[in-house]
Formats: sequence, C-alpha cells, structure tokens
Amino acid sequence: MWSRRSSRYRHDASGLEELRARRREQESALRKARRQQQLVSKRLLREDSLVNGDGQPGVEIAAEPLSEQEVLQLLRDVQRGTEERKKLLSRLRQGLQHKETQQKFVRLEGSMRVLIGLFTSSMANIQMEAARCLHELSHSSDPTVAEACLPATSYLLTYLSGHSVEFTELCLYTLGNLVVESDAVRKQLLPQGIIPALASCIQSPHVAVLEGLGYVLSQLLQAREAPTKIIPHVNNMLLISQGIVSTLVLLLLELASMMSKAATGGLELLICPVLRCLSNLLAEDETEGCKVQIQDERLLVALFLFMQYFLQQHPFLVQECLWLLNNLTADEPIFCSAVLTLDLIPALLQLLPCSRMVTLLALTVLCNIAEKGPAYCHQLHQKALLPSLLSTLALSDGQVVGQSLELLHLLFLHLPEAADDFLSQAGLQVLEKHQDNPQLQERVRALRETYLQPAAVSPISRDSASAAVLPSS
Amino acid sequence: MLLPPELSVSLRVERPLLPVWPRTPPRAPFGFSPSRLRFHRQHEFFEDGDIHRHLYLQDILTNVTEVTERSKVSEFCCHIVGCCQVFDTLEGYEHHYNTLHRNMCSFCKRSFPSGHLLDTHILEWHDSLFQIMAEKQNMYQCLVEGCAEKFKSSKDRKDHLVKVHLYPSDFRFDKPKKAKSTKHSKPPSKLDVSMPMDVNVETYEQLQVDSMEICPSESVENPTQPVSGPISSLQEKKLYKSRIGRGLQAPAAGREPSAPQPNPRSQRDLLDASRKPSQVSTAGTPHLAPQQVPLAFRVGGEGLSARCWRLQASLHGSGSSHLGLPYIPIFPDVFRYLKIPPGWQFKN
Repeated sequence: MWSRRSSRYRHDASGLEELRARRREQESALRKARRQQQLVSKRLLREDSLVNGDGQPGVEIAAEPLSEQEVLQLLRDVQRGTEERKKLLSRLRQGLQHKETQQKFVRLEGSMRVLIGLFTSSMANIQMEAARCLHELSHSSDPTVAEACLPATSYLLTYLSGHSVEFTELCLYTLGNLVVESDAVRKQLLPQGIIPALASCIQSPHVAVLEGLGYVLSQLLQAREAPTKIIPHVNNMLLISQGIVSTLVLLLLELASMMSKAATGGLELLICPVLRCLSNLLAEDETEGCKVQIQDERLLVALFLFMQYFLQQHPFLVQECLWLLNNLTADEPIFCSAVLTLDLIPALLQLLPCSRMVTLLALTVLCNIAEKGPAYCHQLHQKALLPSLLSTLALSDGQVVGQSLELLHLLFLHLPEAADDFLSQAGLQVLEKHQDNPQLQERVRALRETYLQPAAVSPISRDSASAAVLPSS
Repeated sequence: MLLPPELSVSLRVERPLLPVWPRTPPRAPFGFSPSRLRFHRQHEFFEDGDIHRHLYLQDILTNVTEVTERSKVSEFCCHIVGCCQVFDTLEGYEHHYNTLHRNMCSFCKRSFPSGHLLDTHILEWHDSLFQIMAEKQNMYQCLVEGCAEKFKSSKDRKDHLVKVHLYPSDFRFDKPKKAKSTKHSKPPSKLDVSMPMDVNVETYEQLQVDSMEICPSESVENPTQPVSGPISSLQEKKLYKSRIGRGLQAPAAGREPSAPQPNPRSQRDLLDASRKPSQVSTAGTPHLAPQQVPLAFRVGGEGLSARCWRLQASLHGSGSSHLGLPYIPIFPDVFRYLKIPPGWQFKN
C-alpha cells in the first residue's frame, strides 16, 4: 500500500484546524465534482525529498519554479550535453512540479520533442529522468499541459513490455493520468492498442507493476464512454464461469480475518470494491445466463465483522455491506437461515437507528428474511424484532416507515400472534400517527383492518395454509 | 455494535435449513418482494465510498516502491565488457541493462525496448530469407500488439501505423532500413528539433565495438570471471528473476557459480558444431564452412557480438542459406557456462 503524504504543516493547534478545514473543502469539492459526473483524480509518483540524512522526515524545501528563459537554457544545455545531463533534467523536473513552469514548458516550441527524444534515448538514467518529467506533466491540472503529452503515448505503450520495474511503473501511472484527461486522449490511446499493451503487463510478477496496471484500468473505466466502448468487451458470464465469485468471496474472508490483527489502515479501500463486485455479480441479469449463487455462510460472518469494525469511522461501508447482504438474502434461504442461526438478528437490529440508507437496507434485509415464511418470522419475533420496529415506525421518514409497514405485514401474515404483541405494546397508536400520510395510509389501514381489529385478537388458525386474508379495498 | 462472542471463529457447520414458505406475489396495498438490487454507477449510493477513495488518491505519497528496494549498494560497474557505467542502486543497473544490453541487436548494435521489437528488427534488417519471402507475400508485421495485419513493405506498414493506430510518423522504433541516424556534426545554437535524440546510441555503441575487437594476445582460457563485490548473489537473483529471453535459456544452475552445470543440449550442439573450424585465419578468427555454420547469435555481450558480426559477413559471402533460428541470450555471467572451443578466443 502507498503511504500517505506526510503532513506539511506544523503540528500545533492552528495547523490542525487548518488541516481539517482544507480537508472539508477538499471533500465538498469532490462531492460537487461527482454530482456533475466529473470526479476524476490523478496520481503522482514523486521522489520524496522530505527525508533528511538520518531518514527522518524533514522540512520540505520546495524547488523554485523556472522562468521561460531558464527552461530554454536547460533544454539547450541538455541537448548540447555540456553539463551532466541528469542533473539538468533533475532541475527541470523539479521546476515542472509547478504549474506555471509546466505551462511555460509546453508553450516553448520544440520542447516536447526534445523531451520525448530524451525519453526514448538509450541512456537509461536520462530516460528515467525524462520519464519523470513527463509524469509531472501528465499530472497537471491544466488540460493543455496534460494533452501536450499526447505525442509520447505510443512510446509509453511500447515501454510497457519492458522489464525495468520502476520505469514500467512510471509509464503506467503516467498513462493512467493521461487516460482520464479527456476524450481526445482516449481516442488516441485506444487505437494505439492500450488494452493489449496492458494485458501484457498482467504477466509481470512484480506487485508494483500490477498495482500500476490496476490504476490505469480503473482510470480507463471511469471514462464517460466506458459503458459503450470499453465495458462491453468484459464478458461477465465468462468471468462467472471462471469462478470469479468464489475467488472474491475468499478474498473477503481473508480481509475479514486480517481485521482481528494489528490495525491495518486503509482496509476499507480494499474491501469496498470487492463488495461492489460481488453485489453487482449477484444482480446480474438472469436472462443473460445462469444466476449467481453463493453458498458460503462464512461470508455472512465477514460482512458483520466489517460492519462492526467500520461503523464508527467509515459508515459508508456499512451500507455497502448491507447492499450485499440484501442481494444474498433476497433469494437464498440459506443465508436467511444463517443469519438466524448465527444469532445475527440483534446485530442487525442495532443498525436500525443509523443513517437513513442503512435503516432502509436493514429493514429490507429483515423483510427478505420474514418473507421466507412462518419459521423465520417466529425466530425474528423471538429476537425482539417488534420493539425495534416500533422505533422505526415512530420516525417521520416516509420511506423508512413504509418499509417498516411492509415488514409488519409479513410478520403478521406468517405469525398472527405477533399482532397481539404489537397491540399490547401500543403499536396502534404509533400506526395512527401515519394514517393521514398519503404515501402510507392505505397500508396502515390494511394492517389495522386485517390484523389489528379487536375482534381478530383471537388468532387465525395457524394450520391454515393461506394465512392471508385479502383486505377490503 | 454487539456481535455474538466467538462469531469470528465459527466454522462452517452444516446447519439445518428452515423450511421455506412458497413464494407468492405481494398482496396490495403491500408491494414488497425480495429482489437483488443494482445501482447505476453514478448513483448517489456510491457517493460516500467514492469520495473516500478519491480523498485517498489525492493524498497519496511518492515513492511507491518500497524503501528496501531503493537501498544503495556499494558502487559497481556494469558487467558487460566494455560498458563502463557505474551504479549505486540495483534499480539503476536494472534499468540500464534493460535499456541498453538486454534487447540489443548483435549485428548493428541497436538497442530495443522489447524483445518483440528486436525480433522484428532482426527479421527485417538482417535476415536475407525474409527479403526473399517479402517479395511474394506480406511479411511486414504491424508493430502494435494485438494487431495481426501484415504488409508488403515497410512504408505500407508505417502508413497503417499512422492512419489506423495514430502513431507518430517519426516513430523511433520503425526506421526504414536505408535510413542512417545522423550523428552530431555541429552543436546546436538553438533548440534543434531535427536532431534525433538517440544521441550517442550509434556513437556509443560504435565505441563499444571498436574496443571489443578481439586481441589474440589477451585471450582468456578460463572464461569465468566472478562477479565483483558482495552484491553478486543479489544481482544474480535480480537477473535471473526476470524473463530470460527467447531461445536458449541460461542454465538454471546459475545460482551456483562455483559449479557450472552442463550446458543445455542445444548449446552444446552449437558449440560442437563450431568445434571443427575448417580454417583458421591468421587473425585468429575461425572461418566456418557453410555447412558448419551453426546458428546466428543474438547476444548481449560484446565479445561474442563482434565475432558474430564477422560470422554474419562470412555467411553472406559464402552464399549459404540462412538459418537464423534460436538465439543465445548472453548474460554477463553466462560465459562461465559456455565451453569455449579451442580456436575461439574471447575477451571477457
């Protein structure tokens, strides 16, 4: 895993507050970008100049930006080979950390050609330094700067089949930055054969290369045109038939077992995409092929462990776990059974008073379980479902209450005596709160008339196969 | 959130399945029916997770490779004879080796970024059979991986690269055969963009060749030369870890420098075939009769390559049919595994 950028601020109170403020700004900017479907991030590999001689983090001495004349002079000197080239290129690279310098550089006539010439030379250290310069350019927030790197793409791709780990990695991250830049860049990269070139990287035994490869692929898939141009080439059915589901499940189990050990920060970043993969695979359209079935109950254990672990710090993970839980329990009685026999209902109920989405999903999972029949409802009832349900019914959110009503209906349908308990816990009063809500009133009335009439307190015969009585319209 | 104790150690146990009620459609006004959910990729359901990921991405630091890999070692020299580059990191050496020596054409000294490009180059530039066949069928393969197109001529291929694959028209690794790279003739007064920056490839390599001319007086009977310094085992590990290259493999016994194992069979055959030179020229260069020409060498070591250059010349001269088959990739340490036949002299 990568390490986080070390703090550039002093660790005093003002520094900390400043940090938090910046973080909040950053976050709201990202949210805004996402809503506009423009959420794009780039990655930067940069030599860590923050380390002192004794290996301790030092004060960063930022390199100064370069003037146009300085850039020109550096380039001339490099071509001439008068001074040690590597030092010159290093200086250029440091200058290119600054946007102004980047812009000046790309505006100079012939500069990119020279840089690409250096990038394709046989002098390894020159080539590496030139690659680093290119990488800084690719990371630029100025689109003209990043697009100026276009002439280099054929070489970046060619070098992917090389053997230097560090160099290949650098090329991959540069490509990954360029790929998200614009349509124009992708329109060039795809015909240049980026996908076969990436495929050849998969053979690499080096983790660094594989990570870089993952980065490029994830960036490629963020493209707007990805659903039509790129993703259709991914054959989900083939993946499924190759056993991807069990691989993902095993991965989640492994991640879950890692949590009990010493705190491994950033685990949620690994768990989240796997959860999403599994949930999406489970939701694959049946008409396309066979429906995905998972049989491993241990997955359930893993999910609840994740939810417990991340509830405080990263609540987003809880809702994503519940999404998977829904997809697991919707059809498979095995998982519904397992939730009950592993005694996980109390834990599920504890999630009810959380955020809106979490509450909704938890209620949906409970509905999935209740729908399976009397045996399930019986166990739910035993585990004190009703008191929790009464709490959610008391809320004002229409959708949450609506889902609670559905759950109530299923419970009463399969377990008539639950209605008695509901009444004795003053459930009617809670229901009546919503009788004027247009979204809810029909269901409230149906419940009242069918199950909660004083006359119907004596339960409908439990032996009757069709327990439901159609409510009058 | 409270979980049952010992939950995490629960093993998979056969649990009795509860009986399932037959599924019936929901009864109005109730509409719930269990279903697997799917959200489209821009759905706000994923917002928090996505934001978290991007915050992390933007926060990410430098130095992705682990610190241990970057540890410096005592300075050492490139092992290829005649190459005087000095390094203080293994990565630096690795990149140098891969750039300059790994995929180098023994005939013209050009280095290529990949084995694929090198193979294509040798085929098109140095294989006389190729030229003959190219007259009859499309032999010039598209350079883009995954594209199976073949062309009648180098120019046609270039047109294809430019039009279909949007490659630059001056793509560095697709020089047509007749073109010679220009060398520095004058220092530029301003940015001279016409000057190709492969810079010292030719001049540098030329120097290599010149210094590599075999001098009989300096022949070394025992070709073994121990790797210098304490980094030897590390260095070997690095070298042998990467894919070794097409054709004959260096013997796996490379990890035990003290006990060279027998060569792979094909190497031995090769050397046996060359063991009987029909003539020895006065310069100490064995001249092989056509039927004894074993195979063309593609090597990374200079000593052998100069030899091969002459071998190539003699091949053409003798009018033998080209064989051009497996190549021996020569790594710095492979000399110790080659049984050098008498009459062949190498500077190691």
